[in-house]
Amino acid sequence: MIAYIIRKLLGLIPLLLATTIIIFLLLKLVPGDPVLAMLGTQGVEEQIYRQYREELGLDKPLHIQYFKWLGRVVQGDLGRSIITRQKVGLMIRQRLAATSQLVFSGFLLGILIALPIGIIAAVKRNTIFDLIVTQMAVIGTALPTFWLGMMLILLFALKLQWLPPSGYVSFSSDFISCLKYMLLPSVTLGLHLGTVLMRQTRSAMLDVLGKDYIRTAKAKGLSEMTIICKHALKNALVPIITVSALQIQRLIAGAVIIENVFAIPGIGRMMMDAIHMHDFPVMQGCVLVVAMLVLFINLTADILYAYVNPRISYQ
Amino acid sequence: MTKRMAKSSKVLSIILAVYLLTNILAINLISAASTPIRGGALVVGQTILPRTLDPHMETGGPSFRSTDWLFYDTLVELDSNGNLRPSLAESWQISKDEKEITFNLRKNVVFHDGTKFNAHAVKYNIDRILNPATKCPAVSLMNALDSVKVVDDYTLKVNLKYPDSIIMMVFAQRPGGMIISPAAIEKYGKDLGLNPVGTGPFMLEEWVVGDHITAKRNPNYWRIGADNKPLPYLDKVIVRAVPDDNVKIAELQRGTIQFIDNIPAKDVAAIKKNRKLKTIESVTWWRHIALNVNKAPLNDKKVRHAIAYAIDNERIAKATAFGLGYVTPTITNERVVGYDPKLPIYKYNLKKAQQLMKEAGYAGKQLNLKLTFYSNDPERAIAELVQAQLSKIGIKVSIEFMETSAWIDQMLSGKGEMGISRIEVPYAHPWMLISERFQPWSLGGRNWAGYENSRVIELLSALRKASDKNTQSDLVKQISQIVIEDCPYISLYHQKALRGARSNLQGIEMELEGGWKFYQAWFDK
Repeated sequence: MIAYIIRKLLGLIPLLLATTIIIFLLLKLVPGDPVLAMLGTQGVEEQIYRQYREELGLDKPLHIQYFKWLGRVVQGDLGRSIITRQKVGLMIRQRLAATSQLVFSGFLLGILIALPIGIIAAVKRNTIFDLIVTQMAVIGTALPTFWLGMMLILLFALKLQWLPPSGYVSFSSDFISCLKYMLLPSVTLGLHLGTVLMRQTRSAMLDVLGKDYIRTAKAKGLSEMTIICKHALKNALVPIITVSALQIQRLIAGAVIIENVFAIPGIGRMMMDAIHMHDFPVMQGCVLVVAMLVLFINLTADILYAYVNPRISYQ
Repeated sequence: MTKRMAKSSKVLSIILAVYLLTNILAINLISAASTPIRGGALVVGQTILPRTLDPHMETGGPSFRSTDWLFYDTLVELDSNGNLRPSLAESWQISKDEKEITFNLRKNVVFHDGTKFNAHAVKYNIDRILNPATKCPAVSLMNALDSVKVVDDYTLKVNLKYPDSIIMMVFAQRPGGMIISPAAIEKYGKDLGLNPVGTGPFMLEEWVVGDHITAKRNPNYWRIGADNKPLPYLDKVIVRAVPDDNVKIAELQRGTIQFIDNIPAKDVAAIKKNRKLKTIESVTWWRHIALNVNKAPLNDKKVRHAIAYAIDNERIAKATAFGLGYVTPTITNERVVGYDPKLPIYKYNLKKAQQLMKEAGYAGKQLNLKLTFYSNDPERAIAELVQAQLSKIGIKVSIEFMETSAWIDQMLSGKGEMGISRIEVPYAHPWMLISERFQPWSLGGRNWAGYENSRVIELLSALRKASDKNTQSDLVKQISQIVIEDCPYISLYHQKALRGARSNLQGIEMELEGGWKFYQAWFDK
C-alpha cells in the first residue's frame, strides 16, 4: 500500500511539469502583457513600461523564463504577482479557505441529496418516485451552472430577499453568516454533483441488488434495512467513490464560475483575474496547487477502495 | 403697582417667555439639522478593488484613488473648483522666479503607526518617488524637481529646474502628494501595497484580497469637525468589490451599500425617481475613437475627415448615453480652461464624407478597417453604430472586443487601426488632460493614435510652464485648433459620470478629478 502511494506521488512530478508548461505557453501565446495590464490605460508610459519588462525578464526567451520560475519553485518560492506584487504563496493561502469551503459544502450537499434518493430510487425501482427522480436528474445535469446561480440570486436574493446576493464570510469568523452566504453557491454547485451522483448510486445499487448474495441474505430472513445498508451499499460504494472523485475535480472547475457569479474571493476567481491580467506567477502557482489537490483526491479515493472492499489490494 | 399694570406685565412676561422659548427651540432645531451625527459604518460598492494601497504605485482612476484618500493626506488640496488650499502644509510660498517652493508643515500630526509627520518624512517620500529603483509609474510628473531640502523639522524647500505650473497640482493629487510613513516604507518593503500607513482619517483594519477593504476610524486624526472634536464622524468605511452593475444598483436600493462608484446611464432615471437615493455629479468622460495616423489609409487626413463627417455623433450620443451625453469639438469641455464651443465640429454630413473619400482616391473602392474596444458597455453599441455609418462611405468595419492589455499593446505598437477609448475630464491642469492623448508615448502621453505634431509638442511645453490662466486659455485654444484640423481622434461625445448614494449620507467631498473623500461624511437620520 505504501509503495503504491509513493509510486503515485512520484508520478505526480512529470504531470505537474507538463501542466505548468502547457499553461505557461498558452498564456504567452494570447495577446496581452502583464505590465500593460498593471499600468493600465492611465499609467502606461514608455520608459517605465520598458523598465518593468526588463526587471521581470519578460523579453527573455520563453524557455529561460520558464526555467527561472521552476528554479525558484523547487526552493519553495512561488514568486510575486506582477500586478499586485504580493507573494503568490500568501495569496493562494488566503484564497484557499474560501474555495475549500465552497467545494466542501457543495460536495456535502451533493452527497446528502444523491445517496438517499439514489438508494430509494433503486429499491423502489420503476415506481413513480423512481421515474420522477430519474427525469429530474437528467434536467439537473443539463442545467448550466452559471445560469442556475444567477436564477437563484434573482429569486432568493433580489426578489424574496431571504439571502444575500453575493459575498463571503468565513466559517471561522461568523458561523451563521457563513451559512447564509454559502447556501446559494453550494446549492448551485452541489445540485449538479447531486444529480450525477444520484444516477450513479441508483445504477450501482441496482447492480448489487441483483446479485446472488443479496438473494441469500433475503432468504436468511435479514431485514430490508440491514440488507440495504450493510450488504448492498458497501459493495455499491466502489463505483460511487470513483464517480465522486471525478466529480469533485469537476466541482473545483465549477468553483471558478460560481466564485465569479457570487463574488467569492477564492482561488477560481484569482485564476480568472490572473488570466485576464497575464499574471504568470499567480497563474502557474494556482495550476500547481490545483493539480496537487486533484492528485490528493484521487489518492484518497484509492485508499477508500481498499478500506471499503478488502478484496481490492495493490501490488 | 396698579392692577392693570400687573395684568399687562403678566401678559408681557408670557409673551417674552414664549418668544424666548421659540427662539431656543428654533436654535436647537437648526443646530440639530446641521450637527453631524457621529458613528456608523459606510459600505462603498465599486467594480473592482485597487491592486495596491501604495499611492506612489497606483495608476488607476478615481475609484482607486478614493480608497487611498481613506488612508493618506497630501501637502495641499484642490477644492471642487480647482483652487489650492492647505492640508498637511499649513502654508507655502513660491519664489518670484517660480523655481523655489517653501512649505510650512502642520505640527502635531502623526502617522497611523505613531511616528511623527515632519519635513524629513516628506523628503523621504519625494526621494522615494524620484528614485529610479522604485519605478514609480507617474514619476515624469515630477520631472521639474531638482532637489528637496529640509530647512528644519517643519519647513521644506523644493527647488525646481525650471518653472512648472503643474507641480502644485502634483503635490495635491498624485503621485508625490500622498505622504506615507517612512517607518512603514522601511518595515514593509515590497509588501507596502498591502499595508497602508498614512496620516489619513481611517486606518486599515482588514483587507480580504479581492473581496473588501475595511478601514476603521483614526482616533488621532488632525482635522477637527464641526463639533470641535477630531474627524472623521464615521466609525468605519468598508469598500466592497461588486463586479456586476445590476447587483451594485440592487444593493444600493436595498441599503446594504450606501455609496456606489458609478450609475450606468440606463439606470440613472430609476435612481433619480427613488427619494431614498441621490445621484452625485462628478466628472465627464470624453468618449473618442483613436485613428492610427501612421497606418494607411488613416494616415491620409482626407480619409480621417471623411470618417469624422460620416459618423453621426448626435445620433450615437442619443442612442448610447441616455440623455447624459453632449457633443464637443474636442477633448475640452466647459470645465476646462480654454474651452471654446465655437471651435469647428465635424457635424454629420454624408455627402461631404463621400466627396472627401473621392478626393482621397477611394471612390468606388472598398476599405477594410478594424475597430477595437476594451469595454463592452456602451462601447459595443457605439461600435455597431459606427460600423453601420462608415459602410455608407465604402469602409467595411469589423468590430472586436479585446482584453485591456491586448488593446493597449496593439494601439501603442501601431498594429491597431481604430480604437474606442475614454478619459476623465477635467484634470487639475489643462496640460495634464491634453498631454494624455496628444503628447507622444515616448514623451509620457497615452497617445493611442500615435499622433506626433511638433507644433503641438511645443505648445504643450509652453502650457506646462504657464501658471497664468489667460495664457493657459490661449495656448489650449491654439492646440485645440490644430488637433481638430489634424483629427487623430474622433470626438464622439462627453458623458456625465454620476456616482450614487443613499440620500441620508451627508458630507461627501467630491474631488475635481472625479474621486470622493469621506473624512467629513456622516449619516443623517
